[in-house]
Amino acid sequence: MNIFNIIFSNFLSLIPFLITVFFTLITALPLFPYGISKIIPLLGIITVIFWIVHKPELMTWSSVVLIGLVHDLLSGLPLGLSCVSLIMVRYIIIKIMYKYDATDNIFVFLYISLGVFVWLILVIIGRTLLNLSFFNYLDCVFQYLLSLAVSPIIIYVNKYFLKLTNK
Amino acid sequence: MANFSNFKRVQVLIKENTYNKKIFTIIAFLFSILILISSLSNNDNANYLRVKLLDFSGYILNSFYMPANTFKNSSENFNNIFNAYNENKALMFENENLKSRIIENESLKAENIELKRLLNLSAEIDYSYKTVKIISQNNFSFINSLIILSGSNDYISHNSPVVYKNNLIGFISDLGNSSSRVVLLTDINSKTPAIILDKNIKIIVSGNNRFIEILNYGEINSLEIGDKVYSSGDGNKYPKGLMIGSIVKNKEGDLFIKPIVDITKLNYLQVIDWSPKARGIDIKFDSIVDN
Repeated sequence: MNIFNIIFSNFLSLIPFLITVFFTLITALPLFPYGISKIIPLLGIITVIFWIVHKPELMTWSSVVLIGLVHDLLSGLPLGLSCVSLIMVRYIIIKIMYKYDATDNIFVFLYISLGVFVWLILVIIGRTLLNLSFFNYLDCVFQYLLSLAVSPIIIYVNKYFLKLTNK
Repeated sequence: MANFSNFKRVQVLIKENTYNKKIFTIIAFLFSILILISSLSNNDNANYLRVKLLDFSGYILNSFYMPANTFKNSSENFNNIFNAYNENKALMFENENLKSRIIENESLKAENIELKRLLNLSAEIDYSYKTVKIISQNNFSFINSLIILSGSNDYISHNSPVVYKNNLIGFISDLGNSSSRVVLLTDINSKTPAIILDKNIKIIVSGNNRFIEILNYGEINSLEIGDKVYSSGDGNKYPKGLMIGSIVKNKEGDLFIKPIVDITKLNYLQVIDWSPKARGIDIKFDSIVDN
């Protein structure tokens, strides 16, 4: 094994982290038209859950914390709120996976549905408690539904990178 | 060769044995809670870390912004070309109206100056502003903010009002050296003293992450759909007379304020120099208060 192979294999193990950061960056860019700009699918969160299901050894606790920090920083949430929520999501998904070790597309979709729901609920509760005021939760419902609608595309894109990491 | 193989084997063993351990969950969870508490406690170290991370994310976002914005603008340009004829007709009509308004405004302005001189009123705060580029827009239902590519290096100060052509957009909440975060008026963190100039009604408005709500319900009986709401200047948080939005009614009959400016169409904003010195306040501030 030469040095290039070592670098390449380590780079491959970084793919889940990098692709998640990339999708998180996309959601933070001013790309989207008025109307849907406030309910953009949670691409970064969907990607995290995909990799937790398929490669939990690559989407480690430290990766989850780092991605949470990136997410907080880009979204403007208090630093740590997304981290806490993502750690809870990872914990729940790993616990379920011990019992139902299935990684079919349907199961991945169900994991994503659950994971995004848990993440969103925790962030909403955190934000409501930290600001001591309620806000319009209807947009959160639509953001969740839009995230589910887009998740098959994100699963398909991530499957391509999953093949790379399996090489 | 053997060393690398051994390394790989150990690496796999570590991964297999550690990624599901409860202790790591607890450590990661406690670490995140610690970050959350330190960011909320507003201590110097947490602020320093946040500023550095904000600057760093500003550089990364800016590198993504150019190609993304080109893509966005190209699709908008196609739309503009198709609508050019109709838009031109509407703009010509609007231009004629505006010309007559300018003449009217000039006479009112002269009259206003004369009346102020007669009443011996003290001069209002005159402010300067800096034009800044938007590099990130928050696209989430639970928070309304954006990141601009200017910070303390450009003499922007914390809590400075952010406007677009005299329309109030928000204020600077996090100030980095080269990038800053703007909390929009529609965010739940935003509370603004406002006034309806025509009716001389003062209200407090607050974001609800979608529109802007009116907080004091006692005084709003005479408000009507289409009334224009401006910043009142109370508390010296914002300059007086900046447009906040116009009043609309939802299906339930509740009154809301809808911002006039569509923030998603903007690439640039203006940050008003609202430092104590610029406002003519010469009382020396404690550095903690000022920051």
